[in-house]
Amino acid sequence: MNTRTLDYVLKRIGFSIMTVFVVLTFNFVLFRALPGSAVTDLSRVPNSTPALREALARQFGLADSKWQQYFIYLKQLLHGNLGVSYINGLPVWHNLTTDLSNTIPMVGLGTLLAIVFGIWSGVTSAWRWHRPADYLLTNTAIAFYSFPTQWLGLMLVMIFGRYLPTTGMNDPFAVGGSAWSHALDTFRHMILPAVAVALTLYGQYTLVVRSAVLEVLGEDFVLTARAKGIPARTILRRYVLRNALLPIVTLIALSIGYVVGGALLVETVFTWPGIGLAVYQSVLSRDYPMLQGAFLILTLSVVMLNLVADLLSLKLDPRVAE
Amino acid sequence: MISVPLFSVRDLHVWFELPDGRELHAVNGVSFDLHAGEVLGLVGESGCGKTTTILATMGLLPSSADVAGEIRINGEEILHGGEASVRPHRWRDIAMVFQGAMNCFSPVRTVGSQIVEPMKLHGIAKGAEARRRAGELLEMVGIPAASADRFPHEFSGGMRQRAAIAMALACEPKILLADEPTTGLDVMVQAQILELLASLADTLGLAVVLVTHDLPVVAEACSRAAVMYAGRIAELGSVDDLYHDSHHPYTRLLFAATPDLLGDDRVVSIPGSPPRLDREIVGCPFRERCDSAVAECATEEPALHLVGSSHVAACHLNDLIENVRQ
Ligand SMILES: Nc1ncnc2c1ncn2[C@@H]1O[C@H](COP(=O)(O)OP(=O)(O)OP(=O)(O)O)[C@@H](O)[C@H]1O
Ligand SMILES: [Mg+2]
Repeated sequence: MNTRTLDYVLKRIGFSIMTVFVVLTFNFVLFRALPGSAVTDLSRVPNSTPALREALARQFGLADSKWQQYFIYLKQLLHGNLGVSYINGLPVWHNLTTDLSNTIPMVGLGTLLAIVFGIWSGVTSAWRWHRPADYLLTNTAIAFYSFPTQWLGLMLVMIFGRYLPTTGMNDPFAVGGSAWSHALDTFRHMILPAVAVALTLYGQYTLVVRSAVLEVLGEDFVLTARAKGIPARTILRRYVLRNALLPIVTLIALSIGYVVGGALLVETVFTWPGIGLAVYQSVLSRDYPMLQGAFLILTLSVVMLNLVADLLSLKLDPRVAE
Repeated sequence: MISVPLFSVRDLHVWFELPDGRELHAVNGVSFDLHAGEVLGLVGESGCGKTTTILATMGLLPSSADVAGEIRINGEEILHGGEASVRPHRWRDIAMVFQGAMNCFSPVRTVGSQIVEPMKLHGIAKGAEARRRAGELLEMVGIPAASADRFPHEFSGGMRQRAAIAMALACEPKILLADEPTTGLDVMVQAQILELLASLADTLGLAVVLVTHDLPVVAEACSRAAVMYAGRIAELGSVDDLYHDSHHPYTRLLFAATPDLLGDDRVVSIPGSPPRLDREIVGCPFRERCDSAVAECATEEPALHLVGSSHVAACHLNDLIENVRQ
């Protein structure tokens, strides 16, 4: 690693930390800058006294100055303390890690499917530019790109609901049974939501891969490679894909970052107990600590994957460090 | 010369199918021969079909192009068998320096590995031997051999262009098609490269087709030149003949429009512009800009006729003069 590369890596990491910090602060301000506080409304409750309000404010730490509150907030975050959920009284951190561990395999499977099929159809349609295969694949991709997620989810439920489970993560009545049959049951439940995630991403991936490949196909070095007598398949692999990889990898890394927090629609349709569903339910029940925690996770995943994309592009393209 | 020419192009036609279904006749009956050690200039205004001609000879045009005609290397026809029959000849017998050669290297691989690649592919050399050769080729075009391990973006534009020439020579081709190989380079480097090409032609017997806008370059580097206009060859002959005994008004105006000095002034200032190639052209394609057109020019397309020893031109005036003389 030369100094320029190191410089780039450190800069990207520094930038990521900055971003997280800014979002944390924003998260704090968003909930405190609003007029009133959690105890303001108590004034309207019969029999409330200024003394009671003050006591409560002290208890919730609202009597301190905003700056003090801010530093306490940061300190608690550093210790992994995100507060307690209003719904189930458990630590938010505990709830979110459980949700996240449910979301990641499902979204992961869906994204993997979308990557495999998206790259395949994107490359195929670019290679068969303006021929029937191209029209077919491109139009399919545009269709999937434009269908609303919840509609796709409902279609899946209607069509495959007879063969595969459509709600939850496990069959509530399948008690007992080995760990293996439990895992198999979870997997069966995972298929439809994962396919829904895959279908929503598929269209976008296909279109991006197609345009990235088409762009590279028009480059002079591809023509040169043909002139050198290199067989078409080798050119596709060694020149075209290799150069188209950069935009593709960036896109995929970024979209995974959003999907982790943003599988909200899919998880709601299939009641998959992941972080998206948790956000949905927290909004319904005004569970602010949970929401704040979920935003934090969403931010972290987007920022992290952004960083991953930056570091990968450094690996893939020697020009990036310049 | 009685011997079979090393490289021979016969009656080459290229039609591009345009998106709206019409056809553009980009190359219209181009023929020329090339012998070992010879440098042939291919000149003409932008859009006259120079690049299309040389891409067609290597079978490199996009699928929207229809190609007819014969391309022979040492008498062997190479295009009719499709991709399978051209591919073994590419880079091995006939290599190319592309217009915009600066971008002919993939940005994600080292320059050296891309020079070595065709050597391996065509069984010329491999491993350390191939790398050594790549280094030698780079040295030959004035780039330190150690730069082989660097990426294209670490080269300057001029270096990349020279590296492109080194790459073209990787498999010791017999024929080199160079499409404006010196455009954008400063005069010193330009002169070095032309000298290099000339000396390669001389010492290795390399046959070169040098495409250029730049007439002084033709004067300096070529023995013969073909002047193209609207996809056709208007005149072909020795550079001397073209300069001092031209038999086509276009050649005369073209050469007159360019100062004899080496300079950046390669703007061709013949009034008017070439005809559109996506319509059928009746009569002589140059007649609207010609200063000596006659009645026949409007109705009949002039054919290429011999006007001297290995000197041909396509102009009705020549035929008229010939008739008068007889
Ligand atoms: N892929 C293509 N599709 C359609 N038309 C094309 C295509 N490539 C070239 N042409 C047309 O063919 C004609 C000849 O183009 P060509 O690039 O061969 O000219 P050129 O003499 O090399 O010009 P320049 O000096 O600008 O490089 C032009 O009219 C051009 O518009
Ligand atoms: Mg050209």
